[in-house]
Amino acid sequence: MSSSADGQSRGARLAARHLPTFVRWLGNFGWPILLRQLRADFRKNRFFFSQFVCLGVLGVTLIAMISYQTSDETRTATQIGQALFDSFFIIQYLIILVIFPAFSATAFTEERAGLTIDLLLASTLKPEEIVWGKFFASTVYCLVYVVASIPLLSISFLFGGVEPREVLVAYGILIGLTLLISMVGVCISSWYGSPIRSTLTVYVLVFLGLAASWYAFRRTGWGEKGAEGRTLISLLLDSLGVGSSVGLPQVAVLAAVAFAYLFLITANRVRPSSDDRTSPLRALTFIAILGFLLASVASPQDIYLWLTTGTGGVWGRGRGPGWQRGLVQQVFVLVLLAAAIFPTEEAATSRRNRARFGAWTGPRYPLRIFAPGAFWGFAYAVALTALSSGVLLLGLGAGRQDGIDGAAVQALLTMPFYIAAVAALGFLLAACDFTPFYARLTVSFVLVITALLPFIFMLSKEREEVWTGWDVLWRAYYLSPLTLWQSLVADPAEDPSQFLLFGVPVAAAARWILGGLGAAFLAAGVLAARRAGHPLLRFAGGGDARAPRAAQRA
Amino acid sequence: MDSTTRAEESTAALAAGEGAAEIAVSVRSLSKTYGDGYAVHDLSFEVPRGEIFGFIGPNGAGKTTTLRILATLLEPTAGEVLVEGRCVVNETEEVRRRIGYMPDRFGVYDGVTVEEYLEFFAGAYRLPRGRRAAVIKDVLDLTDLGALRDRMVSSLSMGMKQRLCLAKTLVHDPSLLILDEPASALDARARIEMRVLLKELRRMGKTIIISSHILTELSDLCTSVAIIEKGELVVSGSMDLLQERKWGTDRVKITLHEPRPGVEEALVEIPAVELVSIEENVVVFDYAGAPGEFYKVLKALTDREVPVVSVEHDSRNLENLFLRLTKGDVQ
Repeated sequence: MSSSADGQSRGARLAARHLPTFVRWLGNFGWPILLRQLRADFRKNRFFFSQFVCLGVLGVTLIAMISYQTSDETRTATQIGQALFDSFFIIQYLIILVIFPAFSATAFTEERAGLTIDLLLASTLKPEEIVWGKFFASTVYCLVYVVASIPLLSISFLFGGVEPREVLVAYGILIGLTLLISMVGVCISSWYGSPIRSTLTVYVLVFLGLAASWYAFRRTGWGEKGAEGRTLISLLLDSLGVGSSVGLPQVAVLAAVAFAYLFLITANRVRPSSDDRTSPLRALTFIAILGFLLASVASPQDIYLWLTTGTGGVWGRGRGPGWQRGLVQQVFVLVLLAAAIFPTEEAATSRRNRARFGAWTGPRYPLRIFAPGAFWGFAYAVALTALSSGVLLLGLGAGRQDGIDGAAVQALLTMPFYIAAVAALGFLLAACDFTPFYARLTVSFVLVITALLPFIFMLSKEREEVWTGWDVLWRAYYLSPLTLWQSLVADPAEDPSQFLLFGVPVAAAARWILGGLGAAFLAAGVLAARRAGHPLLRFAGGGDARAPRAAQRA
Repeated sequence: MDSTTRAEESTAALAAGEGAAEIAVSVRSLSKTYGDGYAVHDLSFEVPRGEIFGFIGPNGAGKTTTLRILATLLEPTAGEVLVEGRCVVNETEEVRRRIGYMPDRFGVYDGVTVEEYLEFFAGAYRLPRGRRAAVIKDVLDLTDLGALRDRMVSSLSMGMKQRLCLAKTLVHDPSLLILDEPASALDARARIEMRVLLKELRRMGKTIIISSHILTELSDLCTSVAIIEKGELVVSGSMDLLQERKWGTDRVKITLHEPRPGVEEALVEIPAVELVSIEENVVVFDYAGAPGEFYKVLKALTDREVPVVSVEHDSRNLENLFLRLTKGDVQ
């Protein structure tokens, strides 16, 4: 009792001592950069001019919309209000996506071009603080604009037809978009030395984002017959609701993961190479997969049901194969992401991290997932994929009353082999002393090419031509993960040939080929490492402690 | 002089200097490679605390690379670099707290005043808010920028910007200053002012590593030097030590009333005289002997009735030392 009381008082004392430090630290986090940037930027006309122009465009468009809508006497006040709200949302979306990336795209390039980056990096500011400050400074423009536009939105309320929930979601989406697009801009700016190049790259991504948004909006049925009397936001909410392959929690998790990922990558980019910290990226990948799985399995309704009726209540609702297939597709994407990161990280590990893991005196094996080393990167990539697949299999088995979906199982069983093949390729590249950039580039290239293979072969194939199993096989068609994905997307009742191509079971053939490739890559990597004298397979100690070859020569 | 001999001599110089004073910077077997080539190879030297250390080398010799490694902006490929006993790779933050780095090419942030500029760096170096105003005032006074505190940074001249950058370097009171070509863009007056300021900083107990290609200025300023060429150390040690070991000979210029034959023959007979060159009535040579024995040179000339008008000595001729020890080719 007394020890507990002592513990509490000690805890309180610790909190009293350290909390102000923490609050001070939090208050100072990125603050010097933000303050300097705001001081400099708010003295320029650019800020006021951009705000004026954007608000002017929005205001004029809304006035024109009111004039147009009210001229049609067949339209009700509710419809006019909804049309105004939709117009407001779309214009805001476009302005945020098109105008404001220009502000964040030069966050670091202007430091490089102005020769101030070294002064900044040599200070005691942490890279995370620098990125945070830059991010906030470039977000402020956009956030001020979003807040300043609220009075204009209120015009649509005069006509009715818009629920408060829709307004909140609309602003949630706009603010989320602002944060994400600013982070993308800051991240891209850390890759380039020239402001023009970084701005152009950001705008290429922006236009891809515009196309993706347009596709997502159209998928909701917006603007089509049957969707009258409903706003775009309400349609979006419906499309992300229960029973959909991608739900609102998943979108939120994905956006948060993407944000954190970009943040960490940017912090690593602005960090001197002696201070490399790629391990958080591994941790994030791991958390992303888990988070995404959880978000996929549990919607808010499911959690409520689980709390009130137990597990049986959730599974008893009989969510169909569509949900299961959607889940498998999403995991596919995430695991491919892991495959691209894990095997090549070893090449990027700095002396600092190698020294840290070498000096670690605690239990080493549980930490290996965050430790450097191509071999363990490979091992964990495979283990992680197998674990994800196993969890999914259990989920699929529990979710269906009539047994496990055969196609999904085939795809899940094939995934570890695919990951193993890609990971082993990364291992081989690392053993051949590829630089991190080229190792990642090559692995990404392999991923993209294999994903595109079906499209390439389908485009080259004559419509009437019949491919035999051998024709398809030598074209390495079966190697593509997209083939497996397509076999999951299609309904076997409608097109069973997706699963058996010319009598050859797609997934089973892929497993053999991928497994063989993985083993070949791995053996080649080990041989290359041994020939070069790398201690790649040293199991004792923290990580593989691989020193750059140049250092070994020295 | 081949590279082995030079390395041996430099090691001897290091050994002679060791233990003489507390070490501020220790560089051991430092190498930095870019692709297949190396920028710095097996570089070792030490900088005692409180010194003004000149880091000299031709263009592309690896000076900036070494200084950037010291400033924690580059990772060494091999070797160990300690700043006041802290490793630049593993204890980055500790090192950054102790150093003030001024790069050879730098810019300033537009749109802020001189005071705001320094306030930014005070924040970046985590100076407590309550102390910032006083520190900034002191630094502005020290660098003679007090009258410009409300001026926009973009309106300053190049010399003032250079001083402002030095002021920013001092804002967190570092014990080691790493200055890469700090006077490169300055006019003669601003250079003299910078030199006075650096001497004042040394008097305040700071260690200063300075790289410059204006060797005449360094010879007056530095208490020790290191010369590198093609990424390798040629020689390092205190100026006195170098002088003692006759690496830095006197450069002597004798003006005659009129040209006379036999002057060169008279001079080369003296063992301490090297590299004699005669142009019209001007004789230039290196003198490596003891100062008390220079009369022998004059005696050799007067014995042959050579009409000497004037004799000029440059006893701490760093430029001469540099030319003697380096070949002038870059990687």
